[in-house]
Amino acid sequence: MTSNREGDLAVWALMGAGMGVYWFFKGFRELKVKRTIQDIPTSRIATGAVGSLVEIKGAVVCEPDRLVPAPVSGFPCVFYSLEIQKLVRTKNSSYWKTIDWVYSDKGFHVDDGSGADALVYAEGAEIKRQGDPAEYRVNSSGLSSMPKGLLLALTLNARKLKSFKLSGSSWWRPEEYRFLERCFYRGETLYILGNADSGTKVEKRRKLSFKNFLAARKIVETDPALRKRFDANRDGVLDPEELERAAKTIGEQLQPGEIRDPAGQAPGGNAAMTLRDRRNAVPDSALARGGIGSNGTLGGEPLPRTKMIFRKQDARTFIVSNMKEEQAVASLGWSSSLKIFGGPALAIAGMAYIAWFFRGVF
Amino acid sequence: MSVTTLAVLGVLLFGSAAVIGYLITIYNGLIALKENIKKAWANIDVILKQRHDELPKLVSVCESYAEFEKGILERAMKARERYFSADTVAKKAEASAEVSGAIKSIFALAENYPQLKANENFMQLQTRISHLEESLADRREFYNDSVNNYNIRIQQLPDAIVANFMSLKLETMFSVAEEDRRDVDIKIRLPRFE
Repeated sequence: MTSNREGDLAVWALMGAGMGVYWFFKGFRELKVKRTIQDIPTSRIATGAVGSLVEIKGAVVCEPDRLVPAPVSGFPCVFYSLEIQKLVRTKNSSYWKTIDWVYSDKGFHVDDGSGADALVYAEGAEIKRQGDPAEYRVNSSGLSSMPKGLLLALTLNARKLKSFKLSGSSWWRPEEYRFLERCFYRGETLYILGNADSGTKVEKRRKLSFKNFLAARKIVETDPALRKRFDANRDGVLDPEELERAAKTIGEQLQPGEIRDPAGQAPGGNAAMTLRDRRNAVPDSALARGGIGSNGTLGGEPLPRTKMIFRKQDARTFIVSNMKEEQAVASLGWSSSLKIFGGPALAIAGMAYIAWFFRGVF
Repeated sequence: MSVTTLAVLGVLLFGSAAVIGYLITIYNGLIALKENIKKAWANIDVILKQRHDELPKLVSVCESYAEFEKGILERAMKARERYFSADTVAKKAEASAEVSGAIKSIFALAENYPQLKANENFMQLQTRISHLEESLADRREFYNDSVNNYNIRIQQLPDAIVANFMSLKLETMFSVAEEDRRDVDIKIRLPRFE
């Protein structure tokens, strides 16, 4: 006769054994990725060849008004990924299970100083960031009280969501959700390894609809910073031609949740770091150039041509990271060793307990 | 079956799976490295072929200036022919370095021919070839990095054991010819421009 406690432990042991086997194989996958990172030399964007497994390093460049607000932290970023997790409760414990992903849909440019840049669509990439992701927890009954940015991102991507429903779950059984946000910022130096296509296939900007044009014109008219930026003759007034040009430029880049940052203050209130702090933390070289201007220049310099396009293709390796190559290799080295040795130890211990538990049966 | 027997069996099972898995990872990694070198060379070859396609045009433009040093032009064309007939990477690299040297000499000599330098075709070719040379230098560096990674891997343990089993040999780098390191000699029989 076994006690309830022993029965519970047997379930845990079975789960541990399964997890151990999974870690064992995952460890080898990480070892393979680690060796790939070590073995691929870095290409210069301007002169490097495109193809499978191309490695580049460079700074993120982006004009300020093309930034998107991060849904949780509110920081203006060039890309964000939002991992949606649900709290799964078992008899004696609980764990977070990833149920959906949301990505900002725009690509961003990476410049390595070689005279050309790479366009990166990081959706589906393995994102490696130093530090913990920004986090927001909510109960399904309080979904409507989420931060505006988060609500907007979820609403806009509602069709892509497979499991998460903004309407929430049934009232008698509330669920708990967690949103983990990972972003890349303007001026950050990134490491990218993945499949590179030729830059000649760069997608043309989407056509501006009349509705967006009108909305953009309204934004320009009411925003002093934008009026000043597009006042080409510096007479203090936006002429009709200047206004049209401004509306076209802004309209093409129109994103829901416009970023207003005249004071350099982060729009989100729940993160300790101000936008000014973050700007100070990144190298000024890319920022000093003023980003890509609407007149096809980069802070007055000619806009570098896009030579490579990175995007997720099939199951091929695609890594975007703000870590240095050596840091990524070291992190994967530790992680893979832990999984290759720890996984079997866990599996053996679990199986041994199960064998002991059923000692009278077999 | 006792718990101890099961644990021993588990250790043996996972131990052998780990060894086999590790050997497979090394084997696949070495194959990938070897293929990377081939790919890196193919990417150099593309640029070399483009450069060699431009060379006859450059020679043709220079030949139209009767006084231009014929020896250098002949040397460039012979090196180009040697490149096309070369059957190994080392020979191709050698011929390519000769072509690079000859092109440098042609451009250096052209400094003494203001009319040639002002020629539209010559200027276009010079820009195009200079760009190709820049690409070539970067891709040569990439190739050498790939060879270096491969050479280190096949000599380091534990990869060396698998590499030995696979009979892998050290690869040679795409080195710059001694002649290429020297400054271009432009004192050779310069004709006087009238």
